[in-house]
Amino acid sequence: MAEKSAAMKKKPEEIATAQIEEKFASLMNKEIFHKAMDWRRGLTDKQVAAKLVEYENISLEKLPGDWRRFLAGVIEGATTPRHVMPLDDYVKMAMAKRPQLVKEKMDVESLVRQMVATKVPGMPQLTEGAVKAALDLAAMMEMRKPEKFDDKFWAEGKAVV
Amino acid sequence: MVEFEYVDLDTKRKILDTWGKMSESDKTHFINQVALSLSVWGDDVRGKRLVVEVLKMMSNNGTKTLADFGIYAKQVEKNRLARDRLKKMSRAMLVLDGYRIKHGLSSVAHKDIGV
Repeated sequence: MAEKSAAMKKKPEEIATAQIEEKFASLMNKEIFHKAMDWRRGLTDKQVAAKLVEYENISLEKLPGDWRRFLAGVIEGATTPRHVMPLDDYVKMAMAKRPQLVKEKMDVESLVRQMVATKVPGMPQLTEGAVKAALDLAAMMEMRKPEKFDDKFWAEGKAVV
Repeated sequence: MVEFEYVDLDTKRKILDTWGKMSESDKTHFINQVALSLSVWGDDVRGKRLVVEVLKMMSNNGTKTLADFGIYAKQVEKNRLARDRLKKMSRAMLVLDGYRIKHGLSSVAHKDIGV
């Protein structure tokens, strides 16, 4: 009863402040931290470690030079004009496709077409014109020559997947 | 339970507001990135405070989606709370970067980082 009358005496702004404090603590502790810890509880230590290593190895820094040049060459053409989307984002999109790229030994044209078909939320999609520009550029850079895609090239790719 | 007296009321209000407007997939990406960060830089009270520091930065910068967590996380490397775990912080950045690449998340913040 005493608690109730004390609460009734509280000013509206005090009540609003208390509600925000309570909601924030609940969001952080129950929604965010609890769920984040739950993600880990669902996995064994080994599985967590494997996940971390998997993500760590996707980093662009781990890509051998030939792969980086190959992707950047195709992508640079596809992003003309460059300001349409940061070049790095297209490299990353192609990187995300990397395991499949290696598995299927995908050619430049298929790769670019797949990138066109991939919609990144909030980013403009590539046009057919951009695909043509990318392919022209890839040809100019001699990236479409079959000998560029020899077994050594794919083996290098496998090593980083 | 982590206490949050060190976060001002206005920041708390902004974070709650942003969370309420986020899509479910953005919420999942955000939580996954928090989970990965805590796994690498530690899930003790200081580790959780680092997560809150990232949130404070995002809120001060007016971000509309907490899914940009991995991009802003780089900024807390300079925080005094991270001083004795710099190696872990660098590894966390690499892991977060890989997560964002794998899930096709942008490498640039939806709003320019001005903090």
